Amino acid sequence: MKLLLSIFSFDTLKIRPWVPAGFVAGLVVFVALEAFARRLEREGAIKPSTIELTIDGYRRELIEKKPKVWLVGNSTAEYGIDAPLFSEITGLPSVKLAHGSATMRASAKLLEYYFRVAPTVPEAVILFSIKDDMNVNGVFPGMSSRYMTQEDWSVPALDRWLTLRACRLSITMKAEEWARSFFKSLRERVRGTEAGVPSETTPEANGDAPFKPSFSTEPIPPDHAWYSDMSRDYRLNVESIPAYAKVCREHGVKKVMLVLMPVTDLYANFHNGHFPEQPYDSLRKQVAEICAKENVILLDLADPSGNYGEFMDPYHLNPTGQKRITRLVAEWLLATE
Amino acid sequence: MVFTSWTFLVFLAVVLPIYYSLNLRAQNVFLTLASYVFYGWWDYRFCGLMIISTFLDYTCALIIDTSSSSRVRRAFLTVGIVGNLSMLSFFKYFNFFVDSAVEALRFVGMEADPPVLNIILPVGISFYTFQTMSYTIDVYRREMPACRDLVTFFLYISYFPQLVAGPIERAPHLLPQFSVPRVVDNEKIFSGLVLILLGFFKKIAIADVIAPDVEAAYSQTSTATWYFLYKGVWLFAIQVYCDFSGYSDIARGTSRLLGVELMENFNQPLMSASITEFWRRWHISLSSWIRDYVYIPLGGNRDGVGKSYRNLMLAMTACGIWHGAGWNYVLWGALQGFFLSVHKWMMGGRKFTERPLTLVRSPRDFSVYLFKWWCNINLVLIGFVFFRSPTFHGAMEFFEGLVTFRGGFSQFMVADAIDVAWGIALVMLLDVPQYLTRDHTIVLRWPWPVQGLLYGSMLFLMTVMASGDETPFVYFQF
Repeated sequence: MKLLLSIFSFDTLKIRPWVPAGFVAGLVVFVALEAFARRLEREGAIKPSTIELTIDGYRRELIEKKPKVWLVGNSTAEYGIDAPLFSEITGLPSVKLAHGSATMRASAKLLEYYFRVAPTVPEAVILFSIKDDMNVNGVFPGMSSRYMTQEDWSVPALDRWLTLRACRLSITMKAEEWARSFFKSLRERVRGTEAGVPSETTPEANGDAPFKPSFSTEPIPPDHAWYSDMSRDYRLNVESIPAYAKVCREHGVKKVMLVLMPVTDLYANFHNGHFPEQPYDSLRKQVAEICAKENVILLDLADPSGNYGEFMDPYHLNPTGQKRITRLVAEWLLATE
Repeated sequence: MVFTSWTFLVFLAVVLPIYYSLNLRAQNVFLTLASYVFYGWWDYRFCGLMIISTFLDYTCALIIDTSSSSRVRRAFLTVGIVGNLSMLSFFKYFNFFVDSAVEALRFVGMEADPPVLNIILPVGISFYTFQTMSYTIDVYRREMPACRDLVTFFLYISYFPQLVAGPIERAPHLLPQFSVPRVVDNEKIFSGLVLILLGFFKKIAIADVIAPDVEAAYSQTSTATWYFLYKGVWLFAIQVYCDFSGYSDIARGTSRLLGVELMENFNQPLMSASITEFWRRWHISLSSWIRDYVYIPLGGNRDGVGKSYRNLMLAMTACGIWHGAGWNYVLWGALQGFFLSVHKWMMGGRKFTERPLTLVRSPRDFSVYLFKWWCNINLVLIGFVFFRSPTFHGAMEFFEGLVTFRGGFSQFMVADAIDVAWGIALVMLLDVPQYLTRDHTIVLRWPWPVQGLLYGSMLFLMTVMASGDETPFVYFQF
């Protein structure tokens, strides 16, 4: 016992019972900031960022609607598919979800997030894609990184009381939007409207009246920004479809489906001009082979089209095209029952 | 266990009260056991390796110290160094050597079927093997006597605040502190807590927050725009600095709570105005180790200008190799050696003396400082491209994107520039006062309302920014 007690000695700590005023002030400031932040958040004074709002919107839809079909895609699906019409034809509640815009890594992460927040597993997940979404070197990497950054912190943040980061993002995105619109209007005044860029207003479908496309139907110039933004170093990501199928199947989805969206021949020729060694049609063939191997049900609508009346630019459908394609995809889904 | 985790805070909360209530001998035993618990938390198997290294250098140093034969002394010095380097080489570099040999054979038209070994890299092995080697070398050089007490020596090697990511302590500085009673007063407690808070802030609110943007830039080197890449390399510099110096701050702060003083490892290196100054401020424990145990034994600058450049190149290449088993690290180290040699040549034989910002007296002086700072920081960023890129090809793609201004300005995002500005502003907020006063805990001398605002804001930002995941420190991989 004496031996045990001999190891003790209380000579190391020689402190006075005193705390610096700065430390106390620090705690007070911290508590005050917390309280203030909670008050701001309760009053809705801090607006979330556009991306956070968008993804939060998807989360709410998944929870409220409990859709049986997920329609996952980027802008080609946004313009090309009418979700309410799709639900009406199929009789299955469905929602449209963004797929991350760029690299497959962003897409898979977002899909994981959707599965995490959705209360029910869908019967079918349909991925709407064009060949640029499957570029292994990614497209619009800046946008993709924002989705990934969003996903990494958004799950706890959406349930938490405040994100100062959202506040900073709101400010920087507003500044960015202003700067971009300013430079865009300056550019357009100097150079005029570019080939293939959609006009400000999308034309409404007008019954039997002949439709005049609002974009130039001249071949897309080889140095168009789409080359550096989307197609640069193009290589088909053969891992993208298996990765997408894997995520879906791991979460119990029975039907994993892929739609290659319609594009104009202008778009296909633009690709072929830059990549003669991997022509556009060979990419479609490769996708078909991968889908057959991975048991992904494929609907290939990507025949280069000369029917510009259905498009608002070389690869986005207009409302006329949207109606037709939505009907086509809905009937195809029903046929695979 | 990671410093920035609840597990570590609980560990500390248990260790400190027990430590304060023990006598010196019991404290050393207890700290050693606690250090092995800390280290074994990653993987208990790592402890065996550290025990072997400890016994090896303890024995070699004792024999070196007690022997009068220079042959015997040199032999056991060799045993100590070779033993440690062998362990390090096997666990860290085996696969790299094998892969490089296979590539070399393939280059000359021969195929090889190398053995495949799944080797786990023990956390902190690069740090503690260097620490044990420096001890053995110091004893050989008769700069200090060998430590006779096994418990004290075990504690010197395994001391948990600095075990896994430095600073790489020197025996003459650390060992004596374990042999005398420690005293922890108010000043040590509060300065220790401030250092811990600074370290946590740098890690949680800065390094971890910008990590995804860095990952995004370096994973898209062939397609990302030039400003996205430039943002990536800037943010990486901030990330690795805040991560590593944050760890060092937490290590020093924790150690101060135990009454033990660790050396400074970072001295605001991102404010350096030359590459020589940068290496006197960045990872000081490693750069001084390389200087004392590689550069000077090679001859230093004693054998003429040409040889001093050669020795610089070799020493810094060794520094690069220490960082990792990859040619990108070798290249990074060689590049640093080249930059240092060029700067040495520009100095024209004059001894380098720092000219810190505190000596700036006129706008012209300040402009000169800014210009030098800008040139130097871009040299540092060039090096960091190699340091961070997983492959040499990736680094070349990175430079290609920068140099060709890939993407032009069509999609320039103000948000990207603001991300970098935000990171720089936070770092400067912490570093500038420390740089100007040469005091890492200068905040303790500020008026209490200013202190309160700073501490409260830092705590607040940490709670907002924390991801909730335990993200390891970048330098753990070394």
